[in-house]
Amino acid sequence: MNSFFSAMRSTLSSFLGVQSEKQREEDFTNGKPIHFIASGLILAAAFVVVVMLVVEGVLALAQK
Amino acid sequence: METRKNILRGSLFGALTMPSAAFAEWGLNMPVGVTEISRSVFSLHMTIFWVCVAIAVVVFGVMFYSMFHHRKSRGAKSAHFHENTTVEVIWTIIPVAILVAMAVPSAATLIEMYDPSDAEIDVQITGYQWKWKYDYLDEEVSFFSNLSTSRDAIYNAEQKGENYLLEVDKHLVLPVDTKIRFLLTANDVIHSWWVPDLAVKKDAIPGFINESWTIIEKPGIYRGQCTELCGKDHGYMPVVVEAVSKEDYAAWVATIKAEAAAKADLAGKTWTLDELMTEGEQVYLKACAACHMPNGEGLPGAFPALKNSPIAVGDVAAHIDIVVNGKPGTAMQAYKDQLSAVEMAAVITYERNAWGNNTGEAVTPNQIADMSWDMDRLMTVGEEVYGKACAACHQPNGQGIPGAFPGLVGTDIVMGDIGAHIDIVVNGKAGSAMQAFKDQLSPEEIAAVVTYERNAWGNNVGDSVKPSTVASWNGGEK
Repeated sequence: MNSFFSAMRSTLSSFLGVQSEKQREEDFTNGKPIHFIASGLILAAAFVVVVMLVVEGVLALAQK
Repeated sequence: METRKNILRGSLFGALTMPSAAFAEWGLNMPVGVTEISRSVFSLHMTIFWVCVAIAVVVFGVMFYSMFHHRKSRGAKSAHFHENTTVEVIWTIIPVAILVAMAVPSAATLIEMYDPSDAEIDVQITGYQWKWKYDYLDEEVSFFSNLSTSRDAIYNAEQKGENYLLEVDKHLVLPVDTKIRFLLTANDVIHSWWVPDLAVKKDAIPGFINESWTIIEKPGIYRGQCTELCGKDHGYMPVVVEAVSKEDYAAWVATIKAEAAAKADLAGKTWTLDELMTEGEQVYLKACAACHMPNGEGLPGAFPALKNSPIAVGDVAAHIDIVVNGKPGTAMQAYKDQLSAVEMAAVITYERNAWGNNTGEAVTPNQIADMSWDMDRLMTVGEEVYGKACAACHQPNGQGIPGAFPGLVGTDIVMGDIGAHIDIVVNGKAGSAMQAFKDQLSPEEIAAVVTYERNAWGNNVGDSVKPSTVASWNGGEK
């Protein structure tokens, strides 16, 4: 479980494009591929939802 | 030192806030334009420009300062480290914040640009290779707008004018202070309609309709261009918008409608070969010379020559057909929607007699008009006309009512001499219930219904009547 949240954190930093060397070593010693795949899919879906909500929100504001 | 700082600050402040009309005058910047949208696009552009300048000053300032201050000759030693997560996060977050800050006003303008609701006038804009067609949907006004720069100016045989390649024969005339919606599409390939002063730039795509809109605030002439590479004469299809007062717009609509009506009347006139040649040369230079070249020699390998070509000196019907209907799969367009019958007759006559083709043949507007009335169209329209004007007496099945109205199936009039058939429909039959239809139906409708009667209900005579035959039936008299 711990390793899953660690993978989640790494995926999130990859969205930003910044990663520390310490975390990178951690990923490559204890990380499991399935955790990275799963967190990648979850975060990508979350990103899409956030973009949609932002657009909806902006358009709702503009209607006023 | 303090004064210098103040001057610097003052001039920077001035440059930032001064409406950048001064920059536009240099001809380097984009125009401020004459619509609310174009002004907000311009101010966005200037805001983002200054944001870029500020970033450049800071980034390059730090860079040059570091290079100068920590130079090797002063004994500077470079630091050796691999990464610094904090700095990386900072230099990611700051640009994101700047981008979001720029996105807020941009989104507001974009949303406004995409809202064509409540438009008072709809104009459909269709891109053609290489001209624009404008349809005023509320007015039933429609015309093509062609480049009016002469070929001589293009080929340096003549002085280039002030609006070289930015001038057209017919302007898109629009009223000021009126919301106008543009519906953009294309006939052949993708074009893009762009007028910088209106801040309207929209792709015109075959099979799609794109929307845009404008409210022009100032009367004037605004020029633009096609901005999607669309073939050989992409640079030769400019846009010219003429914004006028609402009164002038109403007057212009009335004039252009009257012109269209006058043009339609011309089709009935008798044209001499010389008149057709004069008119035909004008049409040729406007509509044909881009590909077939002013000398009729075409561009070998791309566009065929007309000089001594099998089409231009051969069978006239084939020549008319290719001009009217185009040639599918080639760049040869169908001109039936672009040119009037008179213009097509004139240009075909010109092509058959110019550059030494000298066939001596004149094609009349009536021949062109007849081309568009093939058997299928005559029968379809004829059935409609029959139902409207004839079926009440002769019955929908052509059997008539025995003792009162004669049947039309297999009878002498419809199976015999076609002239007698046309005559009885045009002039009626005195002393009977058969009326003269020349005042009730157009020549096209009479041609269609006579053709229909001769071929419906198993009559199958197989002949057909052309509208021009009917039009000249009583020697052209009504």
